[in-house]
Amino acid sequence: MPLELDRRQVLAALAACGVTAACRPVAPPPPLAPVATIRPRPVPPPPTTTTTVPAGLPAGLPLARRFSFGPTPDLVAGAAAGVDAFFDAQLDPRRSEHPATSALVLDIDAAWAAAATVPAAGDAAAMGARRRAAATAAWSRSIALSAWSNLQLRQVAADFLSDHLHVSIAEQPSVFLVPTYDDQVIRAGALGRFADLLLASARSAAMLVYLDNASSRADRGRTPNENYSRELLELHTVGASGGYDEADVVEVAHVLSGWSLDPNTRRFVFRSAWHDLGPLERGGDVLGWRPSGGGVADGESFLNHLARRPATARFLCWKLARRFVSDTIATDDPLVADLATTYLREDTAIAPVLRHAARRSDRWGPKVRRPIDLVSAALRAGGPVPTPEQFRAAQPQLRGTLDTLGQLPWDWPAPNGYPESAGAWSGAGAMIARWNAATAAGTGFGGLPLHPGPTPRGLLGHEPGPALATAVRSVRGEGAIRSLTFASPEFQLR
Amino acid sequence: MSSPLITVFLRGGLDGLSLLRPPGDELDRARGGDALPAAGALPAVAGWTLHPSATALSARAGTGKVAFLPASGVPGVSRSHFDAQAAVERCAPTTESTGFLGRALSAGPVGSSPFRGVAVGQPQTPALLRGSTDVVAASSLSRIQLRPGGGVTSTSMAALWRNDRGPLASSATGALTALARSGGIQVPPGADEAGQLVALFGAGVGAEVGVVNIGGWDHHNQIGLVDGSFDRLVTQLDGLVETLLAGIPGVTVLVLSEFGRRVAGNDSGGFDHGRGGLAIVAGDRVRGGVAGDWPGLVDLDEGDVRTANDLRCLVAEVGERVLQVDPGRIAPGAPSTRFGVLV
Repeated sequence: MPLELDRRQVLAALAACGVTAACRPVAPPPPLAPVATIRPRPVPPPPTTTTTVPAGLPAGLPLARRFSFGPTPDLVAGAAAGVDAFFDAQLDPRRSEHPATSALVLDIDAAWAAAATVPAAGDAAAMGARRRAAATAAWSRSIALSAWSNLQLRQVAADFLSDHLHVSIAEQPSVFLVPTYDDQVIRAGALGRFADLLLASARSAAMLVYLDNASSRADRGRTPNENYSRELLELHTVGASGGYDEADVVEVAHVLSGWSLDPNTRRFVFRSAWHDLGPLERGGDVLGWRPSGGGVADGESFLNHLARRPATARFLCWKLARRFVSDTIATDDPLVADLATTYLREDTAIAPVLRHAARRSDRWGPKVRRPIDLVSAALRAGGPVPTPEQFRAAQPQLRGTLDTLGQLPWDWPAPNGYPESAGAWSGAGAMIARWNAATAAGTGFGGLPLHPGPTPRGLLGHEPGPALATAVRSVRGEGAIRSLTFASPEFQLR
Repeated sequence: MSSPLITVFLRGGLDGLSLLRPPGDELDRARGGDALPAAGALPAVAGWTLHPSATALSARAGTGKVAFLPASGVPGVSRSHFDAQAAVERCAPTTESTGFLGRALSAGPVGSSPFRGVAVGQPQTPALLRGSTDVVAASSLSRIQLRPGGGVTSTSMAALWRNDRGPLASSATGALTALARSGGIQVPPGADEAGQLVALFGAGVGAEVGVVNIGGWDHHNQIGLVDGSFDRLVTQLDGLVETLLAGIPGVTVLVLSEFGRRVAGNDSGGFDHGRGGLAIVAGDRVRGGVAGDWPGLVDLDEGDVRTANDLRCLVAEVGERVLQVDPGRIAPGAPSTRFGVLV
């Protein structure tokens, strides 16, 4: 009787997860898949926009660098035509993935598929191997797409959202569900409406397992699990100062009680027998929302309400501004209010907010590349898309490098995602890790193909400063030229 | 003269009631079948007992060198992990951006060593150490060296970064200083975080405070008191604390978490976020016992153990006694209460 499955049974089924719907490794996005689920409407230019390019940088470089994982010449050329031209090209539904990148991601997913079909019931060693394979697929597809996807705007948005709606590969059984979550929830929804993404995330196997809502039941006076409801409010929507209290956390847990998984399909199922509206049944509201009779529709209605709250708009847009504008932007900055206005006017669509932030280069502050950004930029500058074999050969060094840098994709152990500001990614130990990453990247992480004849100008996209120009004159070997460039102050910035 | 201090931060919210059981059947009455079983629990002090996997801690407690502070926390913080961790790491008003260990270091011989404060396990500097420039955070202390090959050397990096004024300028300076001084740190191959800290403090490179995190304590479901997640984490914590106590002469180990967990379980076999939690201080300078007030498990605060004992006072005491730092500096605004856990 499925409705009587308890938490243990649901999780046991998930842990044994092999060739199942939710665990089945996912195909890469089809090359001609639409890139944007909605077409952005033009955003009126803000009053104080300037398009001044910092002295000495080629036109288009700052924009291409900030809204991609590394400025290739064609991205810079596109960005030189202006913010709208750059965004329109990135959002063009006809924009396709590089065939070599599709092949690479397909191979990463296939390796995970092979590992996932190994029978593992009760076998700890096989389970460990499967867990590692799932983790490898999760971080590998993320770094491969950051480095080599032709859909760079989608990927920078996905990277942001992988932190904002984070699920960790450091935990199981959620680790088994992250590759699918990355592909079908985060990347698929990264440039669509946040309201849709929030709902998709709430219904995803990965989130349901990671934040425990899969086992949350409130029927017959039971105590529902508060994990997801708390983080939904604090991290995903209105933020810690969003005006809710402890009673609201409990009420939201009741609203979402019964949002669970079918242990056979690993797909969302609403268990009405586990659902109870709890305190709200007797009246009252949560953040201005009132239920209409309970059931799954109430939860959907509440998530929609949350996504459209002004507090959610401000909190999400503040985080986007910290990512794309400046570390030091305050929550009450007028630009955050402007972005939030765009977000609400555009029915929670993410791309118009990014476009708005891109137009405000007058407010851009220095952004230190986080490790995923740093490694991806070095990969993009260093060589062409590798073959699956070449990528597999580089996986150990890539993993070690990202791990030492402290940002293996999806591996942050807490639901708040990797930290944003430069302060988290600096310090003596972090700097040594950056320099060592540069050495590893200079020689292709032990397996990747590299462009011959590297120069600092070519790797950076602009002329090097005097210190780097001097440094490369004193070394021999292409690896050393690459490494010094990747280790330079100018390469650390986005 | 200050002596070594290692802070072990248990991220996620330690269920103190499942690590340290109050005497008698108080816990069974409050938690019923979800309680840590009394059978198999190990002696701690004064009738309180420890989780069966805390074997080394129990033995140390038997020698009077472990103090427990139940029902502790920073008063008034929310049940948010992130607010509560920040409050504990800050131990100061919210206007302060530094951590209590960072402030302690800034009161000592600034600049004497890049390794005065060291965090192992991840390269992000924990908030505890913010406020000091003499800090190294690394995923492993065996990686405080440059990878050979290529053009990246201390000399080339010094030249490349000398005139930089960007956001990473001070990181580069710190990195070069650390590289110049790290030669004496002999980390045994495969050493865990505790082993790395033992190597660090044995190297004579001027280390004063260390930080190590153990994550995974956010037990909203299937806490696994026996043969499960909680049991494994207690085993890990027990081993880590023992390695530090046995390996670093004169060390004091301070175990903290952001909050305790709800007294009653939820229907997932776990416990949601609560308030009053458990802190532990261990080492030769410790006066063992259960310190502070115990408010019991009947008069609860919205279902939580009351925060009867202010963690900031414990931090002030550790700062005064172990690090020889003015309590107003390490824990500004903390009440003057002292728990008497350090000689």
